[in-house]
Amino acid sequence: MIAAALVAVLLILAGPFGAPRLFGAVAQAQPPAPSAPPNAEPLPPDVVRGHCSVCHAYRLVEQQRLDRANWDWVMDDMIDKYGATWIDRALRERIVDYLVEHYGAER
Amino acid sequence: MDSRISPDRRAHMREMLVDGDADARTLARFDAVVSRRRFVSMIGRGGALAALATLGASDLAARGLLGRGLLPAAWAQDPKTIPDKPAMIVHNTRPINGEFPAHMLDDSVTPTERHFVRNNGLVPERAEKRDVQGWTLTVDGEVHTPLTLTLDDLMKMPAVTFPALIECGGNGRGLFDPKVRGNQWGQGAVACSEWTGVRLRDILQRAGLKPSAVYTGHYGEDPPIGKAQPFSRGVPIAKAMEAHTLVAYRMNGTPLDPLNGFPVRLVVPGWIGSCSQKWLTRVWVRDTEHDAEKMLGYSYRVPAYPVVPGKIPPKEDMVVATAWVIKSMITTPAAEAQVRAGDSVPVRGHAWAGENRVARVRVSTDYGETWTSATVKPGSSKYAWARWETAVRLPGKGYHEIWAQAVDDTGDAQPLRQPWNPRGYLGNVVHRVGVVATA
Repeated sequence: MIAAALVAVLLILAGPFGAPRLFGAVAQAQPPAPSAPPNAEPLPPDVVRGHCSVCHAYRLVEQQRLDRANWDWVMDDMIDKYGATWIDRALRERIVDYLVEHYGAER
Repeated sequence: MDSRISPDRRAHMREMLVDGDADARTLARFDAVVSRRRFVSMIGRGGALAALATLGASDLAARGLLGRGLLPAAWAQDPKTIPDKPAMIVHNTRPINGEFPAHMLDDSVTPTERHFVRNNGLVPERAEKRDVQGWTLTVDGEVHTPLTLTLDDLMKMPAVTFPALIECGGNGRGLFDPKVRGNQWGQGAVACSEWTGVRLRDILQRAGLKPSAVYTGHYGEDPPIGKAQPFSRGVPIAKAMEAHTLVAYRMNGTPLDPLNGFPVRLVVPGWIGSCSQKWLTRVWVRDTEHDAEKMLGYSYRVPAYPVVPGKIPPKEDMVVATAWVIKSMITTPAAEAQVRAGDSVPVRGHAWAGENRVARVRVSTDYGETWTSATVKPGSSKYAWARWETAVRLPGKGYHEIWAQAVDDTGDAQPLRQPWNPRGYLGNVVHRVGVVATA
């Protein structure tokens, strides 16, 4: 179906690391810690809103105050159960970072 | 601030659709969305397409999202009010989910305009148009004679009318600590309207249940969102056959509101609201516990034993949530009401107990140290809420809380602190209303 092909194109072109931003110049002797994401810039709010309101209104997101484990659980369901195929793995991580930052359990 | 999308941006987006050979219907849909007067642009400085582009997505891909009608809901008009429910506290607009503050639910019989709305999916077109043409109810599965009933057929069968309580299984979720995912309902996802319809029992008897019939599976015509399965749950056959389980076609004397299930819904009173399928089109009689998506996993399930708050037990330890537990609400005074210290302040509300009966209700104004009994008047039918009332005097100037606790005939009482479960179901902690007393 054409629809599926277009979504596939989006995924392919988004690439594994999302935005093709340059790494900041790093003047240090040792390599960066393995857990440091190469793309640590926070997502713009409108990107999160756009990707998280294709099926349901964003208000559902804004209601939540969840820790990372729960946001991960939600994202699992969004992608695996409910078909949010426009969110690839790297983007997923950055979205969860954003959600924990703005709609986290501590607020 | 003008929140409309700029003509340049609109033209550019439309151009991309045309270049991508978008069909007439897609273009019409695009035009309709962008031309709405209060087109809300949540796009920010860079523009939605630019935002997608920074993720490496090409015009083609962005166009794909637009062209397939996946224009995110945030970019489309966000309704400020929901039709027929003007005072509703709207938790979400798509799908529509909303409730009413406790003080607006004082009536013994909840008026339609104050019946909460809980949706998993979208409102069917037939309901929006209030058009019964072509609607049918199928009853099949473990029955001798599968049935297809029209609304006329249904209305020829013996009808009953009585008030019955429906409460969303997630009512009270907002009070859970730690917080859980989902719509953050307060006290108001509950209502006791008057329902008219045919007993499901009569319909199942007409179809003739086979000995193998143990459970029902309910289906409606509400379009699911995303790739969700069509919303479906069911109940054990004994509950389906209970005299108050209705195939209802009137609510408070008139055809059902589109948001409450037009033209026909199930009313399975006393059980979590998701059993009461709206926009009903099929009852599948099954030889096993219904296993649609919303019967499984953590959906509408609670742990088989009390769990540490915040700790999710394994899936195997989750059991299907069925009847509601003992619960009550204070409908007078309203939260944040101002009263005079020393005056007699009327306090009243409702109480209900799932499959059990309300035994007593008591009220405290000193954080549970001392309690006053309320007089309780049972509802006029088995599953209607009971009414209770009493009066209190607040000792002095300042902030006070009025607490109400109901106990049922098995001795179960509402807890003073909410026990936790991973999805926030069956929240029944004591209702606390804060008031301010003036000297």
